[in-house]
Amino acid sequence: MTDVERLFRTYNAALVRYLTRRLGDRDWAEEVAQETFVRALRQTSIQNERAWLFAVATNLVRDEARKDMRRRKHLALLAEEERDTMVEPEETTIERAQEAAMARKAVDALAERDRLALLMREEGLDYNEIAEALQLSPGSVGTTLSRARRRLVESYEALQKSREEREKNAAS
Amino acid sequence: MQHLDEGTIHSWLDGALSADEAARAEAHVKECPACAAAVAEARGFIAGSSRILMALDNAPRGVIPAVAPRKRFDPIVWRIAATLLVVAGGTLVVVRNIGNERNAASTATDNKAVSNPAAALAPAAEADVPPAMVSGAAASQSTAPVAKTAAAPTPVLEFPKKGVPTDSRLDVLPSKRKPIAAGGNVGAGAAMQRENAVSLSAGALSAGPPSAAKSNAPAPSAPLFAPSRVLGAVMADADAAAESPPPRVVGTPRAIGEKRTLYEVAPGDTVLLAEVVQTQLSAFAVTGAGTEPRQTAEKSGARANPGAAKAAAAPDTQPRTVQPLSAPAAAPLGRTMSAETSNGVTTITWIDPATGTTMRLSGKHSREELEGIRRRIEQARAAAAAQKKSP
Repeated sequence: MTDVERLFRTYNAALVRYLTRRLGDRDWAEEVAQETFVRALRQTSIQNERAWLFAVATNLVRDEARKDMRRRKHLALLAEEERDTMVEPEETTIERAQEAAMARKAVDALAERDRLALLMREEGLDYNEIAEALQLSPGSVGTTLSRARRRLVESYEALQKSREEREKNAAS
Repeated sequence: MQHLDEGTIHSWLDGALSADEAARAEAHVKECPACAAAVAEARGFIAGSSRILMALDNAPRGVIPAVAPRKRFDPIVWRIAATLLVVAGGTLVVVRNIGNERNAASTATDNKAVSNPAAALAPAAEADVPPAMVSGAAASQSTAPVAKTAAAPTPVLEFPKKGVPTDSRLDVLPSKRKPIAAGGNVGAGAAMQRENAVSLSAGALSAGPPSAAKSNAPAPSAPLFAPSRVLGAVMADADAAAESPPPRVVGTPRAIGEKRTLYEVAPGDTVLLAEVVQTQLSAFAVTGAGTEPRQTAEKSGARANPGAAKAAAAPDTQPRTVQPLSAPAAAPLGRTMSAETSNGVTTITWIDPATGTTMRLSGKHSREELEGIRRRIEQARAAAAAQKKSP
């Protein structure tokens, strides 16, 4: 029987951070993390705790995302509609918020597997754990991570550049 | 030994290689400038991606990342507000969200005689003070001027979204809010109503989130999706709204002192509509004795000169929301004051009769064409305003 309290204390922070980065919503992340620990409670034994928790959390997100798709599409439509019908007030964006938005966009642009591997690595999972959680061969984790990191940085830089150009055009 | 591939380099830097493999990699990198450069690059990617991912850690609560975030922050307003606060001491300075003008406008039309009480309170010459007398419930965030003037009891609900709405506004005016709450019968209650309450027809849900995206919430990541009070209305007939009326808004380029909207009148053919924005300071009231005359005036309903009120509201107005063009007997359109052409781009200028806002429309068209486009835009905007008004 797994000691869930110990599991929670050991992994909750990393799991929530991983999920927050993955989902962009802290509340949602905490909910999924809790559900993950609830699932752990039902397990009689878990071999590699960290890999198991991250794998289950990842699957929960996937399931929930599927359920959520319809609702999100509707909201996105409404938001877009609202933008079309409203004249925006002048705005000066906050630098940090812009960075977060670009980071979100760059992360979202990654392939799912690359993104998950990278987010797990950032939470300290080693190559074997990542391979187990994502059902990859351990030998391919390095390649996956190198590709994810390169693409993330490159697409972030591209976003940064296009933003600078936009601002330059707006100023002139 | 052959060159290290990128995956191996990352594995090595991540400490995932066996001792043997790591030693071999290290020996090779020492001798091979190309691989040394690749290792340096990989280190850069590792550090860079960590930094980028850290930017995601300030994710807001309770939002769904369905669309890109839109944040608004207007330092000018705050500068003005701060200055007035310091100068006036016990005076409350209120910045009201732009989106509320529809309420103000409908209030103005509902009342046969509406004055601009703000005019009596000298510094508010350019401000529109909604006729809200909030008594004990001044702190209640869901009290709105319209709610008071509406004939039927109007359900006014806070938008239930967790985390975002209330907090963000509290962040906006934390210090100014307290006096209102404590003050009991304070004229500046209107202050707190920034887009905060909405009245729809009876039975309809009225949702009034202070759109967090429009607020100055210091949270670095504003909510990615900020439903505004319009949402309820839009939800009611999302399908109908899905068809955007021509000409379509294709962008709102930034400019200081102007609200710019880019319209597409035909594929690839755009015109720019500029509205001069003088200020966004929209409400101003003095606490204490100074509020009495205003309250009396409003209670007696002896308000006159709706035009002045509307004109005063103009600077921070979303013009579409106050233009009475949706009414069949619309006010006569402001006559074009000037038209000039340079480099094939014609610009016509007029003053919107409803709001007093100076409008400029420019595009690669003849003056006559621009006049036609202007009418189309005004119709589209009036239609949008009408749609918002009657969900």
